[in-house]
Amino acid sequence: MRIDDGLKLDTTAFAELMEESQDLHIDAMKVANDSLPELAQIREERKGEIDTDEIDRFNVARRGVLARMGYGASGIAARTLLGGGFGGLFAGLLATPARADQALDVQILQTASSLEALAIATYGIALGEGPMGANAPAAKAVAGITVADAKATVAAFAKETARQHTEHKKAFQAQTTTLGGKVQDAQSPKFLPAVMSADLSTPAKVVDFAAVLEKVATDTYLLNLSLLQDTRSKGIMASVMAIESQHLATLKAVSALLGAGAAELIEVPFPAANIPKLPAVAGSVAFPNALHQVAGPELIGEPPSGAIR
Amino acid sequence: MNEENRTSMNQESTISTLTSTAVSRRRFLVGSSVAAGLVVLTAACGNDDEDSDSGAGGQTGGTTATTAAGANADLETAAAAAGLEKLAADTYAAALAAATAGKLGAVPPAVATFVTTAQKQHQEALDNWNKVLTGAGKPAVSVPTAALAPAVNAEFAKVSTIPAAATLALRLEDYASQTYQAVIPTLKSPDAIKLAAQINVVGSQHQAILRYVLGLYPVGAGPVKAANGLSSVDFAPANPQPALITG
Repeated sequence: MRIDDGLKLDTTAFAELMEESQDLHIDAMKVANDSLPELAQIREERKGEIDTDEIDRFNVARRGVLARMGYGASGIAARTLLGGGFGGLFAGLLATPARADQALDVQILQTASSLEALAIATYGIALGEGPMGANAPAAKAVAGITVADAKATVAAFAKETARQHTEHKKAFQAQTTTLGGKVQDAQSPKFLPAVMSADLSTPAKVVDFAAVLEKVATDTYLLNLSLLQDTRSKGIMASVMAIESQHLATLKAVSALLGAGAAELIEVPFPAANIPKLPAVAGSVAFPNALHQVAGPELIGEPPSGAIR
Repeated sequence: MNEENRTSMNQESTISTLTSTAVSRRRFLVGSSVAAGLVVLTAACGNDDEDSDSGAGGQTGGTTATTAAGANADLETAAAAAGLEKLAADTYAAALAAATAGKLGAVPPAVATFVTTAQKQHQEALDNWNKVLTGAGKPAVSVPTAALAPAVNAEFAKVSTIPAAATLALRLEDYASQTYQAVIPTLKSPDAIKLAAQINVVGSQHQAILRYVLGLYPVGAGPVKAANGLSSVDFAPANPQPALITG
């Protein structure tokens, strides 16, 4: 990949690669669009219905999250990245049962939309598109990557990932509307403070923080799969979860390469000739466990957390 | 009637959905997805030693019966998933053996780590599905997916380089991931859903690293590029899509 100057890319090669990653989004959107008429019928059937079983299901699952997920090692690590004081926000959220006047599925979809909105904004900040523009510490950090190909790759990844999150948000919003809920377009109020206060002064910190947000999304969607009642919504949630998990894997690998002082190996398309140069850790750092471990409850977007009240 | 019972009754009608045009849109919404997922997995697994039917077609209603049907369907899915994981673990083991024997040329450190890690993780995934099965009184799965193994073996026989091995691994991961995507919405047990999702996340991440190493954009499915017709939604019922393996 070549760059002209600064963050301006020669995107010819990258554009082709971007098409590939768009495949799964197209699939997810297709699922979403195909389901809309059927979901509309469900909405009519459920209009005015307060499903107490559904509320019970959430509250049981919420307790299960607390009991089974606990504060594992990954949660502790993530808390460290997010900084002190943030965990307290979750304590209150977890004490909040699902509201009885709104379908749980709608709450889940609204909260998912809010997580996507937050991710979009955060990547925008790193790209210099936030309120502070190029003066944002994250934007400066990305612009300050000294290896040209690595800088171009990180910037292009951020741009593409933001676009993907935009598509995810649209899918969740469409489902929300079809189920009779109001569209959530605001950023997650739970996690926004963490974004605003995060130290994003170096490339590694930017990458690691983005990884935390991707893990929040991955973990939240994973847990949602057991909470959702609507089958089509589950399908979309699972599809998006897989994409977020790949964002997470990529960011972990990039972080490892930055940590190993091997920024020159951050390049897409990756040259086959460089495969022998990859450190051994690159082959395992993205997936430390056979079963993906969900973080502690403070890093889960519980259904009410992004719901419209 | 609560949502669970209605969903179960829709499962009950899944089979008739295939022949009846009078099915409601709602039944189609729920039933078709369940049918597709289970047919795909059943075919993929080739595990025809079940001594009971799926439960989906023989229910007559009632909470106990529908719960049992859901549990049986979950167990069928678990058995099929175990067969896929066995296939993946065996394939990575074979790749590792070939690499160790020098049949794939020089093995870069990251590739060696990846193969070792992925093999172990698929084995653990298999072990976890087998725990589900044995915990329910079913036999553990110890053989790979019969319907898929010949295709994988044939492709593996052609592998003589690291990139070729990585490409085959990516195809297999893609197949597994797409299968999990298809069945997750059909599972009833929260624990089964969670397990399938946990495994699917890791498999998707395997794909990301394989894609990166192969010079592809890391976020995507399989070793394919856009608009080639190999879409992740092309899971035809009773057809596990060997094309995902053979290219």
